[in-house]
Amino acid sequence: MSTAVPGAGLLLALAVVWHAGVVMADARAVARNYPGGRVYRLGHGWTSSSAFAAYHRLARVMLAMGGALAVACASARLAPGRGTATALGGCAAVVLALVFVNRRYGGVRYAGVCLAILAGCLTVAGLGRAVGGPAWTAAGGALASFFAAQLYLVAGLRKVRSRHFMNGGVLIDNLVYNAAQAAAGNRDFLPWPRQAALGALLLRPAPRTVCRVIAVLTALGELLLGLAVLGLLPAPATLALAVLLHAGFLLVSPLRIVPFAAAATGLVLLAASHPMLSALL
Amino acid sequence: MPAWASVTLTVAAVVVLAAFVAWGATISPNRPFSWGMYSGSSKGYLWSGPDDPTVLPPHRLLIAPTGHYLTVPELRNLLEGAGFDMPLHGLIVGSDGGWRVDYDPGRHRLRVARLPAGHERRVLADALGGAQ
Repeated sequence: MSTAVPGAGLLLALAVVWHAGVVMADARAVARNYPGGRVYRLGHGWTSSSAFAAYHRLARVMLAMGGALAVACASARLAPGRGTATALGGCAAVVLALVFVNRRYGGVRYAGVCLAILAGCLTVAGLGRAVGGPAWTAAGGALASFFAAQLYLVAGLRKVRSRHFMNGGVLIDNLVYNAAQAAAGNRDFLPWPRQAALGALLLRPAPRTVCRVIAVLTALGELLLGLAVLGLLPAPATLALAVLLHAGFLLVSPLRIVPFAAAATGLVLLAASHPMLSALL
Repeated sequence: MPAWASVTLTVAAVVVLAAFVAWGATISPNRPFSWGMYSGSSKGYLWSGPDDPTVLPPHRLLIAPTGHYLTVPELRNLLEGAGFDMPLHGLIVGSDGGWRVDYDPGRHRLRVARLPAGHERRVLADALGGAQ
């Protein structure tokens, strides 16, 4: 089995374990800080403590499954064969099922879609390799290429069509909000810029110009990556672009965006191994 | 697989991908399994009183730790069931403009006033500066 499949599987394992860890930390925070464990979830309304407890239990299963997937990936890399490919594909299939169950509680939206796609592609690559041979590994890569292209092209197009994003407003909003929350003790965000500097960030032209340039580069970068995963750029350049983009996203929300960043990078890694247009290029 | 079949399959996949992208670019991102990512923002900056120098973190509002996208309708829904006995005042600023919000717990009433277009950041800067 190529390096790409176990590598992408390890990134999926990281995404699942991190997501589960965040949910478990949130559950502890809810038990500690929320009277009666009652929580208002934006987009979902009020959630009872029992529902949150069920979400916590699911996170424990995801944590265990992420660990099992990591072991399966290491085995598939060190001892390639039908058995280890079956284990990898089977673990990915279970992760896919857990992501669908998680949908009921978490509503993880885009990150959930990305986790599900990667898990599905790895299921095809792993189980397909075990049953049908190496050609199925390529099928997993081509599927990843298709869905990764959709993911980045859609993300880029939505950004290009959003005036608020392209003029740097979304980035400024996030920087200001994150800094204000960090000043209030919220550990989700980096304490930067300091609250005293927020006035300048909001009102002076220079930071606005910088944010506008970053926003335009982000949107164009996502469009370019959407085309690159189809095979229009060499694999190393595609991977470098993905790492650069996701490292930037991590700066905005270092704690909670890791599952999305890891799963998306895994998807790009798998896509770059067998891009969809390789038959034409 | 023969070369012609591979090429045909690839061309078909490109056509399907184009339609999939066009669809994903227009659907709502507010779905449990959305194929379209957020490209906007809506952030809430709420204080509970003049003596409190920092904005309220999500747990003080009983919002889940993941909740960082607050809109006026969401704030209304939150206040209907929260039973807060603390006053709230602040701003919601984002892609759809800005609002000044004030909640009176005694009368259980939320007042919302739209900020003048183009002045949202000035008002927010004053609010954050004044709160220090």
